[in-house]
Amino acid sequence: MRLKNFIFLLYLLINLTNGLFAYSFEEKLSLNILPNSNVYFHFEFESKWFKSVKSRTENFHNFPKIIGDLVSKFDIDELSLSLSQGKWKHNQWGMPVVSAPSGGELWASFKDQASQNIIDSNWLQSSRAISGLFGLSINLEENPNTAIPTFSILSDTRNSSNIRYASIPNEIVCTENLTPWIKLLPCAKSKGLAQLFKNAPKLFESHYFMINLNFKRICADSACSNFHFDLRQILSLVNNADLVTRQLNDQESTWSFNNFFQNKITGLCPVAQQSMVILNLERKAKTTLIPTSKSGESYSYNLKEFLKTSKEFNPTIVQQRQVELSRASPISIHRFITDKNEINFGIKTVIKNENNEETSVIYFDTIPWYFRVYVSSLRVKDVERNLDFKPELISFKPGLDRQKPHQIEIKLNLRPRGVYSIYLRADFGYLKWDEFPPDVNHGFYINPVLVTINQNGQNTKIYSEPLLMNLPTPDFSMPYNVICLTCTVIAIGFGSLHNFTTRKFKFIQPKTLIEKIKTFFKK
Amino acid sequence: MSTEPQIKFSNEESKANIRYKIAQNTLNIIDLTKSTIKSSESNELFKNSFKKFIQNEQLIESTGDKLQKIHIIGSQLNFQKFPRRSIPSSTKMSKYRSAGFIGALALGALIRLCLINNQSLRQWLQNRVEISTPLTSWHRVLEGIYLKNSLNSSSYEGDLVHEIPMMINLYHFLIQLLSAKHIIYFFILIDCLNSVLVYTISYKIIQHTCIMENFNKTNGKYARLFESKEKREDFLLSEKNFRPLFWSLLAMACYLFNPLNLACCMSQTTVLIHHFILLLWLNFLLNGKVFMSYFFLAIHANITVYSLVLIVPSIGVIRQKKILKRKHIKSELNLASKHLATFVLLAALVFMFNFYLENFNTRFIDCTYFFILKVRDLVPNMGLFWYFLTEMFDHFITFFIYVFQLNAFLYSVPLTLRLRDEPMVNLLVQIGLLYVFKSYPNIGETGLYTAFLPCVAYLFPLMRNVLVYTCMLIAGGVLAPIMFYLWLGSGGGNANFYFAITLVYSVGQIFLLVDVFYACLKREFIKLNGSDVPLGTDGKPASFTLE
Repeated sequence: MRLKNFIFLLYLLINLTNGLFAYSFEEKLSLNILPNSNVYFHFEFESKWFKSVKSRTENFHNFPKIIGDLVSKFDIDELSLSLSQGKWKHNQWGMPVVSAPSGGELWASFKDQASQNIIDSNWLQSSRAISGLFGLSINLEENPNTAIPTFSILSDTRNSSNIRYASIPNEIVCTENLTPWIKLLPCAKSKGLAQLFKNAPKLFESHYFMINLNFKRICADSACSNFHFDLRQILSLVNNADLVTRQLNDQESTWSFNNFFQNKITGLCPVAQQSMVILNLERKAKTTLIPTSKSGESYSYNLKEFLKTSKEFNPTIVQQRQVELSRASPISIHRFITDKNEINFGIKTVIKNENNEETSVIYFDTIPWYFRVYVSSLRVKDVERNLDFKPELISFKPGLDRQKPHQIEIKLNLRPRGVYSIYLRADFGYLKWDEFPPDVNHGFYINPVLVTINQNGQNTKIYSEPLLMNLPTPDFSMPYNVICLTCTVIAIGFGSLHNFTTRKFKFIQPKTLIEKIKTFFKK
Repeated sequence: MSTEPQIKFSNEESKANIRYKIAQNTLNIIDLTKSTIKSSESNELFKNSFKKFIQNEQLIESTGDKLQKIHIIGSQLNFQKFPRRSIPSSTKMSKYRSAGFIGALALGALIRLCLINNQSLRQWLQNRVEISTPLTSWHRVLEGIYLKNSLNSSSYEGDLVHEIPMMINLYHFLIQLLSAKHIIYFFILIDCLNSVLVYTISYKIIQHTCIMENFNKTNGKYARLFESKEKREDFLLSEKNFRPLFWSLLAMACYLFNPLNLACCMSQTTVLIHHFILLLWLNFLLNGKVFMSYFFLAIHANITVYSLVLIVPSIGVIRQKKILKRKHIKSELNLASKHLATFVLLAALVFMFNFYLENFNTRFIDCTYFFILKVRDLVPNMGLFWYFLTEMFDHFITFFIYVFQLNAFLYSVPLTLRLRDEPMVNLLVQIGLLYVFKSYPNIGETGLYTAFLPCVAYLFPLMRNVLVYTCMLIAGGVLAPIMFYLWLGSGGGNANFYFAITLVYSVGQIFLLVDVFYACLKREFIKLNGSDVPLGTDGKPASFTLE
């Protein structure tokens, strides 16, 4: 009996230690000071799960099971979902830590399969699952928006033919999307950094708000028998300190975390191996809080140690209004509609190299099929020299009606401080009446352009603004009338031709009214 | 109708009647000789009728009934007299003809050359949905060429290009030859050639109609017309009362100065080239070069699937020609199936050639033939399909596409059977009906078949409501761009505004074509039954209706 008990205990112990090693969680908040009293919060939560070869059953421990199941079922190697509200102002705020387009963006990289069709079906199913998980309205079947990049870089390592990309600019991010996202965290919003998200509506008052979910399957060997899951959840927001505190001082603004989130960090998430807060103040601001460690102008706090001595973490920061950007954007990009008429319109993208050195960029654009893009109208122009510019590489995959979007990829070498414009012409498409979304006159989005900059071996992503365009709409109120009228016209043609082809002319006796009535009743 | 018309002498007919008919016959032959002595074909025709006449004479002589009158009239049949007499008039005519012809052509070309400098007008026209339909837009051709040559992929990878590979290759060759900027001159040239073809075809049509009427008159088919009290000598057509030169010149002018055709030329739509192929078909058909005509029809059928059915009226024309040449037709079904087989073979060959040009990639079939049949692009045009399918409920769409497409293909056989004695009117009506009921009509196509209306000018007095549909067509043409602007430009109207105009335009076209058809049938009735209206039992004139 004792032996049995001992074995049972040993088994438990092994399992427990297994669990300890199999899962790790780290959280980090970094804070940056932006010009005009703006503050940029960047939260990062990283969960890791190491697959142990021994355990037969899939036990994800504290790793979110829904994500684990999803990526295992659809053989996903890498998955990225980002939802954002507002626009990141590159010219004012510089570069964000992680870029995201306005609205939604979803892409995934799949394991090699026997055929691309399996990947396509996996992609559609997984997009539906994700849509359900996060309360989104992604519908890639009715609104086909999937692109397969040829040479655009989304992921550093993966084979591009296994990548599926969809930009969903019409997706609006709200608290109902945030709640399931927070639930993926091991302590949800009750402990740790996520305590700041308790008052969710406050988060959405910001100028820019973004949540991102980035999953990676990281292999230890080439055969991928040993791997671990890496789930990185990012929440960024930019808000104005003056607006939050409702004070206006010409020189500086004083605020605390409580002003922004109406909450403080009081407890630690026990699972978290690391809880860090880094304040990058860089002579733009000062804090009253005593730092646990300080390197240059960035104060980093290890909450584990900090909360041993203190009851709560709520630093007060005095921020200067006018400050310089620490990370200027290497290029600036804008997109707009030009010379629109009833039939067609032009889409122009202006890319400016802000660097003093030559920069290589990749322009990746997906345009929904109902804008009929003419690739023959593609003009890449050096604006300052007013010359046609020959890009290094062009790839164009024309869209198919109700099947896939138009996809344009251009590799450009931008000269120092050069300004380039990319122009495309498109016709309006005409949809059937039941293909229109409920709010027709809101317009249809043209996806933001993704520009990947390759600088010193590092890839940086920048997104342009999405465009909104009205499509010609039929009248929704009277389908029956249209059907009746058109059929009448066809009937006029058919009727008279049938009449004249099957009957002959003849002289007949004119009948009196009484005779007519008589013949009518004889029938 | 008997395949070989001839004069029958039955015992019941009185001798006087025979005498009258023979005299009539002879006079007709003289008429025929005067009008058609020039063309070799009619010469043959004349000889045939003459032989027939001699036979009849012998027949009568053999019965022992000698008629002096016949000999007198017969002696008038001096071959040399008529050509000599007609020489001065023919030179006058040819002068008139060449002056009018060259003048009209030059003016048409000049207007086109002047208009090409107006870039904004050209751009506006190039963007018009009524002209640049998915099948004929020049932008789409350029896109196809760009995809094929600059990006090294297939023209049919996307959903923009719907021209057949053959035509894409042709346009690419032309662009290389002329540069994209000067290609408009090629279009002007084709448009002028089209007008010349319209002229020659109209001339042939009118000539053919006159010969046919004379032939039937000669064979006594219209005897009852001559018996009627109200005799109208000019009711039957001859080259005297229906001058081919004048009316074909008018047809050419109708083509050259029709604003619809001008707009098509300025917007560089490929519909001009489609017209060119169609006109070549007509030209060869009327000249009796059957194989060539079928070849061009096969190309046209590959471009716009609908013209497949035009083989049926072509067979009608060929049959009529055989009758005029007094060739015996053993079996009409045999003739039809033989011609049909030739055409199908040619069309298949053209298709195979396209298939070969696309390196046996089947994608182009979906982009060209099936695109036309399935009507995938719902871009507005002056036709009936686009708004109907936009507003149609999803589960009925397939059914209604089938019904509408069948409707377009339906009329060729019944119309050919009904108008078997009027193959020229049949051709005109059928081309028109195809253009009304097709899925992506172009206003240039209306411009093409309305240019042939002067060929049937003799039907105008019998038409019922010319004013109504003329107004409808003009209103449709003028209001279409305005309503389109109201819908999409200013936002003052909605899609129904434009839809209403396309309906008016379509109904106008249907009325026009049905009226031509109706007038033709009525005329046939009068020709066969005389122009007298019988009186009823109560003394009132009977009414004229369809049975």
